[in-house]
Order: sequence, then structure tokens, then C-alpha cells
Amino acid sequence: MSNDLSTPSLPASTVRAYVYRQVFDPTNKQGMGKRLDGYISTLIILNLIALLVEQVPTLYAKAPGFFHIFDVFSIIVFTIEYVLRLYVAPEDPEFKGARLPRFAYFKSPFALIDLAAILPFYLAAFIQIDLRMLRALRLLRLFKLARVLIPAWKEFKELNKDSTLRQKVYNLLNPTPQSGALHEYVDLFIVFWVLVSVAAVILESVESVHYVLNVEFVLLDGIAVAIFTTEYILRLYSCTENPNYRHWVAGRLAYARSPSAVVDGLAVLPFFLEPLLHSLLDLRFLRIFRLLRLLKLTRYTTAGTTLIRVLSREWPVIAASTFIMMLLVILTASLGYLFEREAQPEKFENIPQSIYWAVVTLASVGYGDISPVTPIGRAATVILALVGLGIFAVPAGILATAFNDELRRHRESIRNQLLGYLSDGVLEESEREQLYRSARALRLTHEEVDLMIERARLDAEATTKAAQEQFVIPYHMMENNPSFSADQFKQLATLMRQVAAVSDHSALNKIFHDAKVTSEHDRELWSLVLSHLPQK
Amino acid sequence: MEKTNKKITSTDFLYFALVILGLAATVMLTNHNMREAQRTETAKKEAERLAEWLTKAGEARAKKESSGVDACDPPSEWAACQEALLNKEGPIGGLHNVIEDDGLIVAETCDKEKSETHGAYIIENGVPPGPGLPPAWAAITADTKLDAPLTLRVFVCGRSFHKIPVAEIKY
Repeated sequence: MSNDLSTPSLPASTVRAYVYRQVFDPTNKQGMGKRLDGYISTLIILNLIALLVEQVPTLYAKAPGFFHIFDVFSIIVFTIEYVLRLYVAPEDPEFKGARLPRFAYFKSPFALIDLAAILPFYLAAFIQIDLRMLRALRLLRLFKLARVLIPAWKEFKELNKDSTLRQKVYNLLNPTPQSGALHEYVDLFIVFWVLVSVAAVILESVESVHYVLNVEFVLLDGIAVAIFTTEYILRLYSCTENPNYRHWVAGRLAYARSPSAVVDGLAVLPFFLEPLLHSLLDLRFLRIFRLLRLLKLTRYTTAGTTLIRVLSREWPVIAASTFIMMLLVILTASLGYLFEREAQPEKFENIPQSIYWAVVTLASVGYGDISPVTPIGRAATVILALVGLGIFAVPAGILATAFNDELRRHRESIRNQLLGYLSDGVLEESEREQLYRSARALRLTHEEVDLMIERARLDAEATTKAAQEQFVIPYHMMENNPSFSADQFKQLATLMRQVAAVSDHSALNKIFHDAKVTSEHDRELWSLVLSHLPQK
Repeated sequence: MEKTNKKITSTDFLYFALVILGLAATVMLTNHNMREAQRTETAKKEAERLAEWLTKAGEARAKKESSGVDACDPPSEWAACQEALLNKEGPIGGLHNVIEDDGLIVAETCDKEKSETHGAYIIENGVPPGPGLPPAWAAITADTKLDAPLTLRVFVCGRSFHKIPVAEIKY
């Protein structure tokens, strides 16, 4: 170790290699490349949204400063990305072989796209460019998405080179081993449009917003329906690749009846019904049905299935507590009717009318629009409200516990999967990725998975240590007991043969030939043991 | 995954034709909806023009000046003023129903039983039922006297016979 206490300065190439490896190297799974791609892609999408919003003068006029700051911020980020990529180009295997790696990178298609995305902004500082033209040029930023989409497309093509067209469509729309990253982008695209269209439905209900953006909402809805209709038909077309819907007619009919397909259908149906029903129904009624598009998101989350599983598992307890709640509601309503009818005949006219008061009181909502006025009515309300507090809280408690149990089960299933992978003593990178994917599907974080892996590693170490401690040779008994020594020697020889029999000989040979790891005697003994093994 | 013949089958063509059909239908309907939305926008602009003129006329009347249209000055009634406003030679160049060519220009209500009300302008008069109470709104009647200030609301009868509020004005 060097005794020099001054901080050694890193050579430029080391810094460059470090930056490339940490930020841009697609093969480095531990680096931040994938995350950075995600952030940049999000920023590109936000740029597109900002560009579209700027086309609406009433919206743009509200905060022109914000749009300008956002534009400048985006340009700064894109410029830093461009400069960094240019800087690390000599480390990129694609360009490092070139005579001038940076120039080779500079004239590569992706770099030209990146440059086109930022150049108009800088040119505008020197040349007079029409604002509309400048905005149109900002659309070039969209091409930056090619940096993530083209590799994903190539990967998808490679994964599906032997697949039929229908299989490709199925893999694109559903998570399968052949789906790759492109499927994730398709999912993200659909989720984005679900959120956009739901936000549009919500904003449309605000009269002042709808008044200003009526045409824009119509256009947005048209685009969303075009996407969802295409998705629906393609899912119906490719569903026969799913073993549950194999038959070309019956399978598709069965799929069309499945909850997710029904939701997909309902998401677009109001749009096609509008022209038929607009003279019969208030369209606002149909538009509310477009909120059903939110249910499309259940395909991308386990929340819906988790809730159904929890409810079905706890159903007997929930049913029992619901039954007690109903008894209490009817009892309270009857007592309210009995004690208050004469004092407030218009409010406690009959028992069904009193049920509203009973539920509001027992659930401790207490709107106060109906309240008891007689002393006995008030006394009964005090007791019933206290009882109601406990009874009405029971289902909430049951559900909370059940959700907690479900989460524990998810953790256990991931842990079992991990132990399965670790049965050979090694957790490969692909296995780790698979664990992350399973964890994501079960709403567990990467940190939780990493913690499980670390715990499993510590457990394995403890087990090995315990096994080593068990394997202590009692030397003190051997000195005067040759037969015991012989037994021990035979056991050790058997153990050596077993180790040699189950091991990978070529891998062990490599290790034994490393002089730092083994001595000459070890190697001789290993060769001797190997020579006495039966041929495989 | 099971490997099969990579050739494109007739089922593939059928479903891709369906996709194109679905997209074509969506484009057609969106185009239709856009045209209707643009016509509604034009109707809203027209209604805004009417509201703007009424506001200015109301301001002039408050200053005991003429609105420029005798029929809209006291002691006239609303029927005469409306007729003057609908006249092409009138102060706002004549209103017309921009959504339905054959529809009413001014209607009392937006009524799906009366298809001719689609695209019509609706002018409501707010009458306070008592001090401190919010006004009760009803379509302005032909015999409404213009000698006292009026609180008016202007609507357009939009798609699916939904009243689109445009402005609330003092006249």
C-alpha cells in the first residue's frame, strides 16, 4: 500500500470509463443507464405535452413564463446528455475502434437526432426564427425516444425471429419470455393514454375548462379511442396464443367475456354509441362511462386481484360482521322510529326512512340533518352509537389484517423463489432479474428483494459455518487409538472421493492449478483421488 | 412458445382489416365530432358577441344614453329588441343558428323533444324572488319591459341538448 497521503488524481480515461460504465453502458445492470433512459424519455413526453398545451392560446397565456422555463430546463438536460455522450464516446465499444471516436459518434444517427433536438434552441439566439417554426422543430425531440425504442424493437425481433405474426402480437401485448422491453413500452404507452383520457373526462366536467378546450377534448378522445380500439381488436386476435383461449372461435368468445376484455370493450363503447344516442341521452351521462377506462389499469397492477383474493379469503368473517351490522342498523332504525316518530313525524315517518339516520349515526358520519330530540331517543342513540363504533370498525380491521397477510404471502412467495434459485448455491443475474420482475408484479420493492438476498446469503454463511464446526476432527483421541485413527482416515478419504465425484473436474482443475490457492501436495492428492474415481 | 407456420393467414388479414375498419370508424366519428365541436365554438363566439353588445347597451342605458337601437331602449319590450338583433341590418349583423341551418335562432329551452332547438341561443332572465335570495331563472318573455335593468344569462343549446353557459350580463 502506498504511504503517499496526497489524493491521487484519476487519469482522464478512468473518469471517462467510470462515467460511461455508470451512466451509459447498457450492459451494466447496476448502473443508472436504464433509469436515466427512463427520466429522459419522461422529459421527452413532458416536452410533447407542453408543446401541445402551448398550441392552446388560453392555456399558454396563463403561464408563458413556466413554459419558457420548462423549455430551457429541458434543453439544459438534453445538452448535458449530448455533451456527456460525446465525451464518453471513446469508451463506447461501437465507436472506440474508430480513428476519431468522437467524430464517429457525432455523425451516428442517434447523435444527429440528439443534436437536432437541441440545435434549434441555440440557433434561435443568433438567427431570427419564426416562433411557430421553432415550436414545430421542437417536435424533433420526440425522435430522441428512438434511443430506447430502436434497441427494444431489435431485441423484440431477435426474441421473436421464429414466431408467427399472431405470436408476435401476443408477445407485444402480454408479458411472456419473448416480450422484452418493447412490451413494457407498449404497456407504458397504454397506461399513459388511460391516464390522459381519464384526466380529460374529469376536466371536461369543469364547465369553465370544457368551455375553452371543447375541441381539444374531442380530439384527445378520438386519439385515445383509436388506440384502445386497436388494442382491443389485437388482443382479441392474439388471445388464441393463450392456452386458456386456444380455440379460434370459442376461445375468442371466452376471451371477450373475460373481465379485462369487457373493461376494454366498455372503455371504447361510449364513443361509438354517442352518435346513436346523442338525441336520446345527455352525453355527459355517457362520458362518465369513459371513466371505466381507469379499470384498464387493473391489467397492469395486482391491486384488483389482491382485493378479490382478500375478500374471498375473509368472506365468512366479513359476512358475519355485515350480518351483525345489518341487525344493529335495523334495531337502531326501529328504536329511532319508536322514540322519535311522534316528536318528528316528517323525519322518522317510517322504519325505512329511519335507516338513513341509523347508518349515518352508527357509522359516526353524523351529518346532523336528522337527530333525535326526545330524551329517551337521545339516551338510546348514545348507547347505539358507542356499540356502532366498534361493530362498524370490524370489517375495516379484518380487511387491514387480511391485506397485511397478503403482503406477507407475497414476501414468502418471493423468498421461496429465491431459495429455489439458491439451491445450486449461486444467484445468477438472470435469476436476480426474474426475482425483481416477480417482486414488481407483487408490489414489492427492489430494496426488499435485495434485503431477502442478503438475508439468504447470511443464512447460507451461517449454515456453512455450522457445518464446518461439526466437522472438527478429534485429534486427541487418535494418538493412542490407531483403529479410531484408521476409521477417521477412511471417512476423510470417502469424503474426498465424494467431493471429487460431485464436482466439476475441469473447474476444480483450474482452481488447483493456481499456486496461490493450493500447494503441490494438494495438487498431488487431488490427482490421486481423481485417478481412482470411476470414469463418468 | 409453440412454433407454427410463419405465413400470414386469412385470419391475420381478417383481424388486420378489422383494425383498419376500427381506425377508419374512429377517424370518421372523430372528424364528425370535431366539426360539430367547431360549429359549437362558432355558436359560442356568436353568443359572446350578443352578450358583449347587450353588456355595452346595458352600460349605455345605465348612463341614460341610447344603445343605438331604438327597439332596445326603454320603453320597448324584449320582442322588439330581439327582432332588431336578429335582423341582418341590426347592430350585430344578425344572429343565425350555426349548428342547425333549419333550427331556431332563439329558443326558450334546450329540449331534446324539439330538435329545432339544437344550436339555438337561449336568453334567461333572472328575477329575484325576494331580497337576499338568488334570482329565479326563466327564459326571457317577449313582453318583458326594458325600462328596468335586467340580469340575463346567455346559453347555446349544444350537442345532446345540453345548455352551454356563455355569459351572465347586466342589461
